[in-house]
Formats: sequence, structure tokens, C-alpha cells
Amino acid sequence: MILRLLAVLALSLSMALPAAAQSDHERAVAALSSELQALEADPSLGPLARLERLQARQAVADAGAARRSDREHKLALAGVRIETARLAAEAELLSAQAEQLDRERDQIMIEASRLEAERARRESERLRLQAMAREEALQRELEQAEADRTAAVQQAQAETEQARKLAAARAREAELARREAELAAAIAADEITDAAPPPMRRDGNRRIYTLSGNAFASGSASLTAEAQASLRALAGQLGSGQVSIEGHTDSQGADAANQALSQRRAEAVRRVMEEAGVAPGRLKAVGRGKSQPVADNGTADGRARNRRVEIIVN
Amino acid sequence: MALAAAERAVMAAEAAQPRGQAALALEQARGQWQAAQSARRKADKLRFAEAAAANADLAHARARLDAAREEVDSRAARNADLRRRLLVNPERRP
Repeated sequence: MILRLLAVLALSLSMALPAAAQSDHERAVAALSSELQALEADPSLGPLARLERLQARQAVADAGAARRSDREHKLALAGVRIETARLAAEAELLSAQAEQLDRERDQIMIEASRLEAERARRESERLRLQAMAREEALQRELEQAEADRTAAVQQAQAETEQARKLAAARAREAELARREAELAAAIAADEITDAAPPPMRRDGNRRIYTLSGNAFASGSASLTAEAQASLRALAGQLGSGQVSIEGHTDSQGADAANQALSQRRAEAVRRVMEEAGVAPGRLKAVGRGKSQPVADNGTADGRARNRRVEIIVN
Repeated sequence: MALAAAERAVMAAEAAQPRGQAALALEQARGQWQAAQSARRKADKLRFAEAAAANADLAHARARLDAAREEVDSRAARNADLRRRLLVNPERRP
């Protein structure tokens, strides 16, 4: 009885053991299949390593269909193939990341170039503005200098004009004073009725009347009343010839001053002659300065003789 | 045929110059391939050849992964350096 029971138990065990072994193998294959499916479902790794995944699927299928004696070997191969597929997918993913990093490097270089160009543009703009500011400052300096120069010129012109007006006023004043003196002298001369013409000498056909230097106030071209009366007396005796009036000075003082004084004195004589009735066309007044002395300028007497006006009647 | 496939797989993995775990896997594949060559039974020869090919492919994939990881690290460091020199401190541009 006991032997029979043991035989039944052994038979049961012999029938149950293959079923358990079959179940373990299927579970192992299912686990591998699940692992492979998880890899393929991964959003980043799933699409990659197509060849390796194909080999892994084939290996899992081979493991599932393997004979009992090959199951362990095929399961191991399938595990290796799945791991290989996972590693290959990760390698491809990293390679893609490396390429992305290269593109990122290109973007960095482009951005750097853009920044460099922007920096260069700003620097150029800064230099341009700096140059413009210098130019404007220089222009302002030039304009200021021009304004200063113009103001100085205007100031000088104003001062010159003022001086000219002052000189003109003084000349006018002097002229008026001279005229006043001449009028006073003329009035005084009217009262002199017995005046004689200036002393006369002959030079060929010419008569030369000499009006001495004391006929004028010192340094002046205003004739004294006596001199005017003497000239009026002369005017009545001149006849119809041409009359040349020549003024002379001594050698003291500047040449130009002597020349001008002799000319003014000759002109003063001419005006008196005109006023006394001599036709203006017959009269010619000339200043000789100190060029034609008749006596020694080294003595007071000689200089007095040289200061004279000669009325030459042809 | 399985032996030839295993040999090609081993040679491809060697060309990838594996290191670390990849080198260990390649060494294992070499041993399995040699065992396949010396096995007497056809079934054993086939098993060893299949195992050699699978492990060689594993070594190859791991070597590619190691190389890709190094490449990513290198390029990331390079980009960081470029960004620092060119974009953050452009005056230090070489």
C-alpha cells in the first residue's frame, strides 16, 4: 500500500515538475519581453537602435520557442541582446545630443559675431560722435575768433572814425579860427587907409613883391591886418599880368611842415588878392618850403628874411 | 556561419577600443569565440558562437555609449567655455 502511494506521488511529481518548469520559463520570457517593451515605449530611446532592438526581439522570440535544453542559453542571449539594444539606444541619443551641442556651438559663434559687430558699431558711433564734438568745438572756437576779430576791427574802425571826426572838428575849428582871425584882420585892415604895397624888386621884366615873415602870426597862415592892407594896396597896382604867389620858410622844423606852412601862407595871400578884386584866373599860389632861401638860415636875421611870400608879376 | 558572425562582431567591438566594463565584455566574447572554435560538438560550437557574438555586440554598444558620453561632456564644456569667453566676457576673446 505504501509503495503504491509512493508510486502515485512520484507520478504526480513527475507530471507536475514539467508544468512548473514551463511556467518559470514563460515568466522569464515574459519578463524579458516586458523589459524590451518598456525600452521600446521609452519616448526618447524607443525610436533608436532599430537593428539592436530587432535582434533583441528575435532573441526573445527564440527564447520563447527554445527547446528545454536551450532555454537557459537562449534566455541569457535575449537578456544580453536587450541590454545591448538599451546601450545602443542611449549611445545614439548621446550622439544626437553631441550634434545638438555642435549646433549650439555654431549659435554661440553667430551670437558672438553679432555682439562683436554690435560692439564695433557702437565703438564706431562713439568715435564718430567724438569727432563731431571736436569738430563742433573747433568750429565754435573759429567762430568766436572770427567774432572777436570782427569786433576788434569794428572797434578799430570806430576809433578811427572817432579820431577822424575829432581831427575834422579840430581842423574845422582851426579853419574857423583862422577865418575869424582873417576877418578880424580884414576889418582892421579896412581901417588902414595909408598902407603901401610890399617892397618890390625887379628881375628882368618881372616885378617881385616880398611880404616878410612877420606878416603872419608865428607858425600861422593868418595875415596881420597890416599885411592885408599892404596886399590890398598892391592889388590896385598889379595891372593885367599873371601873378604867381610863392610861399617860403626858414630851415627850422620838418620839411613837410615847412612845405605845408608855405603853401597855406601862399593860399592866404591869394585869397586876400582875390577879395581885393584880382581875377582868380590870374593868381597861382605855390608853397616852396625851405628850398629857396635868400639868406643864411644860421642866423636869426637870415631866417627872418627867408620866412616870406613873394608875389611875382609877369 | 555563426562562427564567422561572431568573429566579425568581436573585430567590430575591438575597433571601438572599449574600456572598463566594455573591455570586460569583449574579453568574455573573445573567450567564448575561442571556445566555439575549439568545441567538438556542433551544438556547443553554435552556443559559444552565439554567446560570443552577443557579448561582442554588447561590448561594442557599451564602448559607443562611453565614447558618446565623453563626447557630450567635452562639447558641453567647450560650449560653456565659449559662452563664458564670448558672450559673458567678450573683451577676453582670444
